[in-house]
Amino acid sequence: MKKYLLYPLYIFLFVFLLDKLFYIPMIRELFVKNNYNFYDMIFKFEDSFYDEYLEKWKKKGLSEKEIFKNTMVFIGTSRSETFREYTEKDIINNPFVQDHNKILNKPVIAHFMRAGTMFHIYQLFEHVTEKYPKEVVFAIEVNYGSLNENSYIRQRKDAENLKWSSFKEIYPVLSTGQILSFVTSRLFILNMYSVSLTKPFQKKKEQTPEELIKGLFVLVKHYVAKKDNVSGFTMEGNLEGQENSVNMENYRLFINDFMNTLYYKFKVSSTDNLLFKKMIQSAKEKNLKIVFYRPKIHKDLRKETDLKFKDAEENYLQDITTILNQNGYSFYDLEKEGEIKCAYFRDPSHLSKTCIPEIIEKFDKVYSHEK
Amino acid sequence: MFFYASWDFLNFENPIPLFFTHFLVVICTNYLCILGIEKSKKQEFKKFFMVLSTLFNLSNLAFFKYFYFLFEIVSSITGNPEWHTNARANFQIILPIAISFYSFQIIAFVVDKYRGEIPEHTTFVEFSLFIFFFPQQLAGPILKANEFFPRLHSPKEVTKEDVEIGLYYILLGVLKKGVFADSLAYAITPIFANPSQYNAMSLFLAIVGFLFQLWGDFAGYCDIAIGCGKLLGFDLPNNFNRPFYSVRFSEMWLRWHITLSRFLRDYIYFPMGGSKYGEFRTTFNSASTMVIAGIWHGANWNYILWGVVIAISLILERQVLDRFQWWKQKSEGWDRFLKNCVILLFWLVLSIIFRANQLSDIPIFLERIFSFSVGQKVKYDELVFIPIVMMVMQYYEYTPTMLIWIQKRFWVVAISTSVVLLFLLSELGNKQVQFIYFQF
Repeated sequence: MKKYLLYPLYIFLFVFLLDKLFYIPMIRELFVKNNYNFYDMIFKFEDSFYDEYLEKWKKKGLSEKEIFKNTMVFIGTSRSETFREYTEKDIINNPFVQDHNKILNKPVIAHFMRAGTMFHIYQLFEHVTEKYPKEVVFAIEVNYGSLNENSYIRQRKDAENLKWSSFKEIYPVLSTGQILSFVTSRLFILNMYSVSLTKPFQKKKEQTPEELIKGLFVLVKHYVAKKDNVSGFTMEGNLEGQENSVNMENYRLFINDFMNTLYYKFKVSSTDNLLFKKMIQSAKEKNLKIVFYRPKIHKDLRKETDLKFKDAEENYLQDITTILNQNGYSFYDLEKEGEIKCAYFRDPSHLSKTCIPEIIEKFDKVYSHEK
Repeated sequence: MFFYASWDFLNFENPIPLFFTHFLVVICTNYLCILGIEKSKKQEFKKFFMVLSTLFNLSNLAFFKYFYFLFEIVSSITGNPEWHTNARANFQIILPIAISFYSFQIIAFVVDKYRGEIPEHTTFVEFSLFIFFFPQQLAGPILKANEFFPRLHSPKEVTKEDVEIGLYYILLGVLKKGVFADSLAYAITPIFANPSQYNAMSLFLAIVGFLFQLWGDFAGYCDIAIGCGKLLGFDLPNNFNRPFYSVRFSEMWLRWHITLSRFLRDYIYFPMGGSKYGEFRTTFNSASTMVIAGIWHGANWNYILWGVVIAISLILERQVLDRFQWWKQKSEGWDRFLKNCVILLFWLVLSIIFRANQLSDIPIFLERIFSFSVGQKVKYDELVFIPIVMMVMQYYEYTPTMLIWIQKRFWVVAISTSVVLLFLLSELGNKQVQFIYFQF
């Protein structure tokens, strides 16, 4: 055989071996920009909030035991983000809350993945539930839209960065494509890290969790930029039906974007469905207290999603309500008329902070008899 | 075959790989027509089988590609918008990958067979190999029978030069697609999603970015295909030849997607009469060919408009610009540079039309750019430096001097390019954007 016919193989072997050098921690430390994989980054980011949260309530004179006895932990997508952002100002004089004092003293924390799918929420759930003691009540977002297999955000191939321990746990529910994706990503370690040839010459600087997570989702950064900068989106929110014309124009653009990215070619991921069931099973085994809920969205966005998957979503909600009831868990559909009175929105997909205290008060009653 | 079947078959959800089966049916039906042409003594029968095969391929393409679009047109003409909505709700039609490319390749083969350009008998295996030839199957270059069968019948020994040049093409393709085009795609997607939010400079850079993304994406795929072909002993035709250095509107299409232009010329423009029947017919023929090229790209008003604008440019050049000696004559230096700038501006106009999410976004782009609107600023440096690097690269990539230079220092180039590529791909974060031309 002519030697030059093996050239492609030589080049492949060279690249393969070069990549394997990054299994050596020292080399990784030297060249890799973010020496964490995708989920590590997210978890590190979330853990920093856990520490901040404990610190904040300890400053109020509560012991760790007292804090956790009363804590409610929200887990979900960006729709759970607002549970991290609301302040005392949003509770005082809030017309939708009955017992203002109780909600003022209620420790609440949220862990979320912006534009997350059920796949991501499951990973977050497994990580977060390990951290908290069993006394806390978890509130988990159930969002039909986050099951989309063709969502823009899924281009990150969510299975690729799974840790080996998580992969072992969930591989039976993964699709063949996801398993292949995971296996091939393991063939090349650099698939999971970002290297920089200039890093060894740069000044060492400890990155903040925010810096670590920066750039993970271009799309989300785009949304965040819009949310913060565009007039019409205010932190206080806009009462549904009373948006001004600037708002409405922005809402329309937001909805267009939303439908073309996160809900693009909507198809329910069977893996996500199975992971949801696995989450319930895991919660039962760990004996966790959980409230499941469907977040409320603006009626204009609802109109669009209804056009896309109204019947399928209703069937899905019926199914999960049955499964949750069978397992002794409550499900709150905040979209239902009368479930919550507040209808202020920061944008078509997210409730305003004004509505958060009412939701907390509602969920707080679910396990109150056990306290 | 396994390559094509894998994306359907490997899911294990469908016991029968549907799209692969569909593809096999298409090949078998066409092969029967080919046999019909080969066996028929009379010219009329040969013609019958050729027309039958062409109609079959066009209907197949039209059904998968234009089903919803035809419903949209019919519903708006008849004033029944619900027809279109119902069609979308009741029929879920997925476009089989590579359908546009393999349809054209089959049509070309059948017509060549009818014209007597492939006199020898073609076996089913040979025909299937021609259509299933994996490197170029998904997005071209569109092959003609005389570029494939001679090699198949008398395989040549793969030389050291083939291997070296083949690997160079593959690395070049990965660089264009994985590093440049994908980085640009991520930078410009938010801008195209919401053009009214961005300032004039960001919008301009997004258009420039898309133009280079499109070239990097498509030319990158073709380079990888040509490189793989070389490693297997096949010489696939180049699909690009410095398109952004064109100095005439008609020259653009001799340099961009060359094999499609060749197909359109040989199987649409010439059969329509080409330039044989006077000035008016020539202009009409070339304009209609470009409109058809637009429609081929997809069931979308943007692509049709794209084709129409190209058609207008060709008419304008033939009827007006060519009357000026300055435009018509071969030029060098500043003259050439100026003409090149005019054509580059035209490329940018075409890129807005091609990429805009909806037709209504096109005036937003133009209005905001020309009124120097303020708004969000683009944060990506890539949009400035990548197009510059790509422009330089486009000039030198296939020059004989470059190829000889690379062969002389093959291992130095191969190792350094591999290291740089590996680091760049990792640095830019494995964006993995799908090839744009896979949708066609």
